[in-house]
Amino acid sequence: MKLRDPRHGPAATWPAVLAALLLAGLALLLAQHAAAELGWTGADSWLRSAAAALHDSEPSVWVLIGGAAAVLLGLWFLIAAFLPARRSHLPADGDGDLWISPRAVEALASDAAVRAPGVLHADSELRRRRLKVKALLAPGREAAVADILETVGERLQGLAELEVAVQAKEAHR
Amino acid sequence: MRTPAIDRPAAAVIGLALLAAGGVIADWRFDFAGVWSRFDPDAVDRVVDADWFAWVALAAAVVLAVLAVWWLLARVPRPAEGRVALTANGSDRIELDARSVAPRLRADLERNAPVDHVTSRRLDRKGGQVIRLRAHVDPRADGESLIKAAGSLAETVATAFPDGEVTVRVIVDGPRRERARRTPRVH
Repeated sequence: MKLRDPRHGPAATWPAVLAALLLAGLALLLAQHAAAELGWTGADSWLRSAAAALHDSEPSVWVLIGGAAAVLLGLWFLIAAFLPARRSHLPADGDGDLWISPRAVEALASDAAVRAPGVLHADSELRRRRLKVKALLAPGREAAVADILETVGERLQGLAELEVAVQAKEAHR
Repeated sequence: MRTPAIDRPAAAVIGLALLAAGGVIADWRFDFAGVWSRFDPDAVDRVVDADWFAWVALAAAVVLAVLAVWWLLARVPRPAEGRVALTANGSDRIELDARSVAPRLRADLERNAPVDHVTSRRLDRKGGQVIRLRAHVDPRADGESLIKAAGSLAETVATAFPDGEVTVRVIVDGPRRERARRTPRVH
């Protein structure tokens, strides 16, 4: 059986935890009603108080706040339920089952770029399959862009099929 | 944390229920759909006052509490089986303690690849186990050395387990202490 790709946790995880706690709260409400009605506790039933409030011509402020919270939670639950879990790592070439995170790719690219001749500082950002390398070049070293592309390409060879773009800025003299 | 398959459909159903509840309360206040005006609160009172309702509420409370606890516990990670059954001919059954394999693979990866802080976890899959190694990359690493190290590990495991009872997966994350590495550069 093929193992699933490494993925982030699904968006529905936290709504599911909250939904489980809501079910537990509902269970507590029903259990308290049963305990009050069967004489196991001297307290009044919370459910009976809630049922009495239904006779009001208008909901109380707390009920309205609860209603607004229910709408917001419901929207969050629905959206989260349909969001797929995103892949967290990129697959690499080769015989091994190797996966590399976008942050690792960025670190390798930044280190490779900063080692190119004429580069003072470099930073990288990976979005989807596009790697953007921002470099600060020494004055008069515009040709370093080609070197950056070459060194970054060599460093990331085989790790992932990426489109590399360099955004270079020349330092002031 | 594991993610139970029920999470997404249940989140959708409970989300719809919460939206419906919010809509009914809005209709109670603003009366835009006439749902609340058709609602009879006396019917609710009659049900709550019935003798049988306390027992039904108790049963429902038990069912809901069990469901809630199961749903919360279903996401607690389960440790993988310690032993893996090897494919064998005849009636003999050979089992291997897979717990001893992971530390060796961790050490191999840390020695052969430009990574550090390697951790491992065994995951059950149909017909065996996957040993998932997780490591932090050294920023000076290159793709070729990582691929070579992962390939070498996979080959070692495939040689030891030719029928694929145990496989290895390598996951490389970003540098662990990126800030600490940033030493002043002299150009």
